[in-house]
This record gives sequence, structure tokens and C-alpha cells, in this order.
Amino acid sequence: MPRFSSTTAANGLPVHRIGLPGTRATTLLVAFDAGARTERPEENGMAHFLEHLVFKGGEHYDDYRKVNETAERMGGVLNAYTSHDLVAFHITVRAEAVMEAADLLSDFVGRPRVDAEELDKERGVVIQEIQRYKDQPSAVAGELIERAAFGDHPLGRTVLGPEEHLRTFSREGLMAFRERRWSGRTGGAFVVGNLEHVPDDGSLEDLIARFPDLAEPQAAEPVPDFAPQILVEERDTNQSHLRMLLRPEVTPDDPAERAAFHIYSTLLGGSMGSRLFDEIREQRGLAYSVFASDHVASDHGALYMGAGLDSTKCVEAYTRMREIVGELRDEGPTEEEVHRARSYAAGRRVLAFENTNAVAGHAARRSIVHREPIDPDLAIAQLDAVTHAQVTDIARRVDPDDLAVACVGPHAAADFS
Amino acid sequence: MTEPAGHHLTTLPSGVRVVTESMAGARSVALGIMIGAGSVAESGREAGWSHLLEHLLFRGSARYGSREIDERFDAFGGEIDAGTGRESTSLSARVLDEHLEEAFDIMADMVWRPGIAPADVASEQQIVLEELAMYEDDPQDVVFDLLGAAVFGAHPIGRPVIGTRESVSGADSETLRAYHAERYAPGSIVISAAGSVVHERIVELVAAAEQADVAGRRSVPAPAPPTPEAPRALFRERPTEQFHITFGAHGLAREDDRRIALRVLDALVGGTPSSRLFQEVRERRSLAYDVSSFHSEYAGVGHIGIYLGTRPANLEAALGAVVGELERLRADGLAPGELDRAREHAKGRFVLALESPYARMGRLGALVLHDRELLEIDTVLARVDALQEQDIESLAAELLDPARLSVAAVGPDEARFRAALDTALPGPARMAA
Repeated sequence: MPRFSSTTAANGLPVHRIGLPGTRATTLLVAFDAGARTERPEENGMAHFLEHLVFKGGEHYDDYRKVNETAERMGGVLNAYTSHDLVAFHITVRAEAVMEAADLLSDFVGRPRVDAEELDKERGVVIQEIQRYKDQPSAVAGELIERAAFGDHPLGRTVLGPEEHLRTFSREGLMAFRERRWSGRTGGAFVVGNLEHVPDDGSLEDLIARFPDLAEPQAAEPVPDFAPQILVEERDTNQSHLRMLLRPEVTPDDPAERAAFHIYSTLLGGSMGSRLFDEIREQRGLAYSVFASDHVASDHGALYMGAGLDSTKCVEAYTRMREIVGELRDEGPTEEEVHRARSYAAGRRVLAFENTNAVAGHAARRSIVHREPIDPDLAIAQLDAVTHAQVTDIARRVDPDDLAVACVGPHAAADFS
Repeated sequence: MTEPAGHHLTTLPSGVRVVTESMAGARSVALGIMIGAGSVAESGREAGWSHLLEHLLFRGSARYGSREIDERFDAFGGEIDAGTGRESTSLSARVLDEHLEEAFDIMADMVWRPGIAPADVASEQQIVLEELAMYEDDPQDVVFDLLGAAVFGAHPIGRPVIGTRESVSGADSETLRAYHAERYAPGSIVISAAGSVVHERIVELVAAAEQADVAGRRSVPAPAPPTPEAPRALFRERPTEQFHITFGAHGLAREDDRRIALRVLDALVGGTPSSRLFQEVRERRSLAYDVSSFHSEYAGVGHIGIYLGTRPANLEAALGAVVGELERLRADGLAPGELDRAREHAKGRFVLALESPYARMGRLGALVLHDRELLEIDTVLARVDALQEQDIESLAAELLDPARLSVAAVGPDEARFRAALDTALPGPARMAA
């Protein structure tokens, strides 16, 4: 059984402790409601660029070398990620080193220098990162589907941003973005795993208080109405990368409904026993990879489907994948199917939660995106509690004809109409 | 009663080996069946058959249909996965301990009694051909395959595990059944488990499930390891945004005791964010987003290499920066504190990685399959601590000599690449094929 407690640092940043049995590792993760969807149009790419720049040093660990060499000396795994929903920094170390790790992370992330010269150098690195993405057709398809679904809204733009933006971002602009979004009041610090070396005397909170005390930010621009498009990036390849996005009505702040939606996407295309995997890959051999997944942001839910396949089979797979969604809508899933998907999803989560970093990432999403309690056992219990009726209800809301489509391969948009 | 710490190893009369390690606090079990069947022991006609056969294990066995295998694993919330490498095929799973027996029963039937029906062979061939085409679309996959050919020439250790269109298409159910009977030999099968597990119970399960065979028979041996050849420079033109560039050479064999020193050398050359290549190429000069080094060890032979992706505008500078860093390491040796940091990094990663039952199962299984000594974790840590600067420096001088590096690259302009390479890496001309 996990043990929890929560305190608040002097700057308003909550500090959550989640103790897990049987591990020698501890993860510290700090996250903010400062993902790419909170960027203004001219800022697109800034949330991710800022994530890169803080690694250039803080007050004490004042350059890139010191930050990374310190983490390495601890044998720690230090990393960060930016999505549309949030930005997060995390370090996993042996339990004995947790306070050293907290000292390091709170220094460079909480008090970053954002040095102008380093900023110029890092532009080139992120531009290379953008180019690298363009050489991976599946990554290009993943960006294209967001644009097809959300258009010219922050959710439709890429997290990395366009190359032109990277050339123009200034230190001033980055610091203004940070002031506006990195408030502790909508963020959180999460200490997860072996807590034997995490003191309760306020010293951890003192380190976390190095982050500036900032006013609560405004809510992000709400999700736009669904105006789906079909976008094709024509490439002369033998393989096609197909993506679809549907927007069934899901209540984002209802954990039971989110759990049911997750069971739905699991039985549609989340596991080897799912309908898409069985029919598209195993029976018809149409694709090497095929999947469905669900994503619930603060104000909407999205169902993704995708396949990597031989271009000559792309349109057939596209048609058949939508038919499978239609069959689920009209006839509902079987009892046995729901039972299996539920066992699968809950079991996977139990296994994932043996890893401290996975628990910390999950807790951050729950707490920052959905503003909910962070008990990992509760997350599993919510999956276990999903009923056949709830999944059938979700399936009825998924309209296979109301969807955004993106494809990278030798096709035209008309192939998918 | 709790199990004593450390691993337990049992060899059954058939020659099948069982290795387990019980981990306090774990609720899950990681379970693997590793088979000494990989691409290095395949003839040209058989290239990719180990991998194709691995796919077919999921298509049904004597007692479980394809759909049933998928559904059963789904129902107990487990993950089952398989992989084929140069020297082995593995089937592995992670499940909660209450599902262990059922999971093993299915996996054992898949490995010892696969169906390999003609219709399933045909459809899995199609899927593998798609997988092959997908690799061909990814410049990073292409460049690593090309590097294998550059370093090892025609020797099978350098060939892609997946095989070729012709060899994959050339298999049928009869040839694959014979291939299975020959390669999945009891002396070349290891069952490995870690987590919430009791050794004796696993041994009982294996003994009950294994297929009787000639006791101790082993799989087809790998060909003699390749000897180093003159370095090559291979290029494939593709309309990509970046040049994807690799340098590589023979590394250390698995049997070589210097492999622990190599792990530390790799960390300080390009394995971490404070490594020399990362610092110079990415941090100081912004010439690449990805730049890293790697090492792989096999029986009798090893492979080391460096990868970077760079825009055409930075091509010359990036090549020069990589070669310059290698020269600097060879000429000046380690900086003060560098060894200490790399050692701590190597130890920390090793210990943290083995927190996971899955990683522990994989390590144990591979060591036993390849007849290597099972060192306790503390022994490995002590060996890392015992490394001296000179151990690393002499290894760098030997392995990272630019004159012995082959090069493989994918990008938009071959002539330009070759000109840039000649400037950055003078010395003997590199063979183009």
C-alpha cells in the first residue's frame, strides 16, 4: 500500500510524497501547467525551448556541465519532457541521494540563468531536433493529425514549434513566458518511491521554495469546436503512416468516465487481443503496426487510431478501421471483451506502478491536468470498477464518420473522403 | 521463509537451464525463455528465419490458438513480448505472480510446440515484409544496417537480423519446422525468471513442459568470428533533411575482461549528456541534436560505434568535431575527475536498472545462455571501482583510432559527403563496397 502526504512550500508549490514498498529508488518530479497549449501563436515552441534552456545552469550548478556531471556522479537518471498539457522535470536516484538530487533539480529548474549566449547555441540544437523529426515519417504523421483535428489552435500546433520561431525567441520573451506560466499554484512537486531519506523537517520544502512565487495563471484557451480536416503529406515511399483522431464526448473531470474511455480504447486497439490488432494485423495482414489510444486533456477527450502499412493497403485499412468503430457503436462490445480489456488495463497499470518514475508521471497528470487526488491504488480501482454498460455508452458516442485524418505516404486527400 | 539473496541455477537432464532470482517486495514476475537461435548462425538463404519464426510462435501452438494466446495474456494483464537478435531469440513476459503458472504454460507451448501452419507462414511473411519496408523508410535504421556491412563485410554478424525480401519470402512451413527442430535445442534454451518467484517451482514447471529431445543437444554453432578488414565508407543517397552518419569498428568480445572498462569508456565518449561528444558537438557547437556512442559484445567479436545526425550546413564541421574529439582523447588522456564521474555513472545506472525484475531476468538469462559467469552485483561494482585511468586510456588508444574506423551515412548528397569525409578523416582510402 502506498503512503502519502502533501505539504506546501512557501511559494505555494505543493509537495506530494508517495511512498512505495520494496524499492531502493526515489524519483523527484516537478511539473507545471506550462505546456505548448498555453503558448500564444508567436510563442509556439517556447515551452519546449525553455525546458531545454534551464539545463544550462542555475545559481549554484551554474553551467550545463555542472548540472549533468552532478547527476551522473549520483548515478541518477535526469530528464524532462514537454507536451501540450504540461512541462515536467524529473530525476531518479538511489534513495540515499534524494536530497542531493532535490538540491540539484530545484537549483537549475527553480533558479535558471537562461544565459543569452547559451540561448543562441541551443537554437541550433532544437532546429536539428525539428529536422530529425522530419526524417521520421511516423513522427510527421503524429504532428499532422493534431493539425487536422485542431487546426490553428495551440493544440493543432507542434510542441517543437516552427524553425522560424526558434531563430527569433529572446531571453526576455522566455522569461515572460516563465513568469506567466510556471506558477507553483497550478504545478506540483512529487517525491515517489523509497522515502526513508526524505526528511519531514521542512528541508525538502525549503529547496522547493527556490522556485519563484508567482500568481496563478489564466486557464489555457479552451479547445475549439471540432472542425476536422484530411491532411496528406505526399511522400514517395512504399509505406504509409495513417492517423485518425475522433472526439467523442467524454467528461474530462469524471474519473469513472475517463476509465471507461480507456477500457474502450484498449478493447478497440490497445492490446494484442483488441479488435484492430486481431482483424487488421492478424487476420487481414494489412498493417505491421496498428493501434488505438485515448487521451483526455483538461477540457476534452480524443481517440487516436493509427497504422503503419504498405501503401497499396492503406485505403482498405482506413475503411475497415472505421467500420470496426461503427460496429462497436451499433452493437457494443461483448461482456467478455470488456472483462478482458479491464483486466489488461488494470494489470498493466499495476506493473507500471512498480516503477517510481511512472507513478510520478501519472501523479503529475492527475494533479495538474485533472486537479484530482494522486493515489495510485485509486487509479487502479477506478479501472477495475468499469462496467460493460459504461463502455457500451462510450462506444455509442464514437462516430466513425466524424474524424480528422492524416497520412504520410503516396496519397492524395481525396483517397480518404 | 524468505529466499536467500542472489540467483539460483539448475540444469535439467535434458540440458535446459533454469535461472531465477527472488526479489523482495516484488508483486510481479518477469519470465523469459531464451533460445540460442539468432541471425549470426543463419546462412544467406536462411537470413531472417530466426526472426520470422519468432513471429510465428504467436500464431498458435499445440494447445493454444493465436487469438487465445493474445486473449489470455490480455486477460491477466500481462505483457508478452519477443525479440530476435544476432545470437538469440527471446520470448518474455511480465505478469502478477498469481498468473505465473498459466503464463508459463502458454509460453512453453509456444516455444516447444508451435503450429507453423502454411497459411500463418504466408501472412507472417507479409507482415515481416512490411516491417522491412518500414525500416527502409527510416534513415536511422538504414544507416545502422549499412554500418554493419561497413565494419563486418559479408560476415553474418553484420547483416540485418530481419533478413532480405528474398530470404524471408523463400521460407515455407516445412523449412521453418525443420529450422525450429534444429535450432530450438534443449542445450540452447534457458528459462529465466526474476521478481516474486520460487526457484524450485519454476524448475518443476519447466521439467513438466519441455519437449523431450537428445539430452544436451545444442543449436547450430555460429560461424567463426570475423577478422578485422580494411575500413570502408558506405553511403546511401536519400532525400533526407539531415545527414545520418555512423562511425564504427570491431570492439571487444563478450569474453574479454576489458568489457567493463569499455562500458566506462563508452559513457565518457558519448554515452551520457556530459560525455565528450555530447559536450563538444551538441553543447558547445550546436552541430547536432543526436550524438551518441554505443558498444555491443558477442561471442568472439564486438562492435563499437558513434552516431550523429546533422544538417547539411553543419556537415563538415560536425565530422571534424567528432574526429577531433577522438584524437584529443587519444593524445591527452582523461581529464581530472572524469574517470570518477564515469565510474559512478556506470555503477548508478547498473544498480537502478536492476531494480526492475524485467531487466534482471534479461541479464541472468543472457549470461547463462552465453555460458558466462554470473557475477553478483557487488562484484561488478567492485570491478568498476578497480578501474584505473590507464585501463581506459589504453582501450581508447586501441579502439578509437580514427584510422581503423569505418563510416556509413545516409543523406542527400554523396559527393559532398565523401569530400567532407576525406578532409575530416585523412589516412588510408576507405573502400566503397
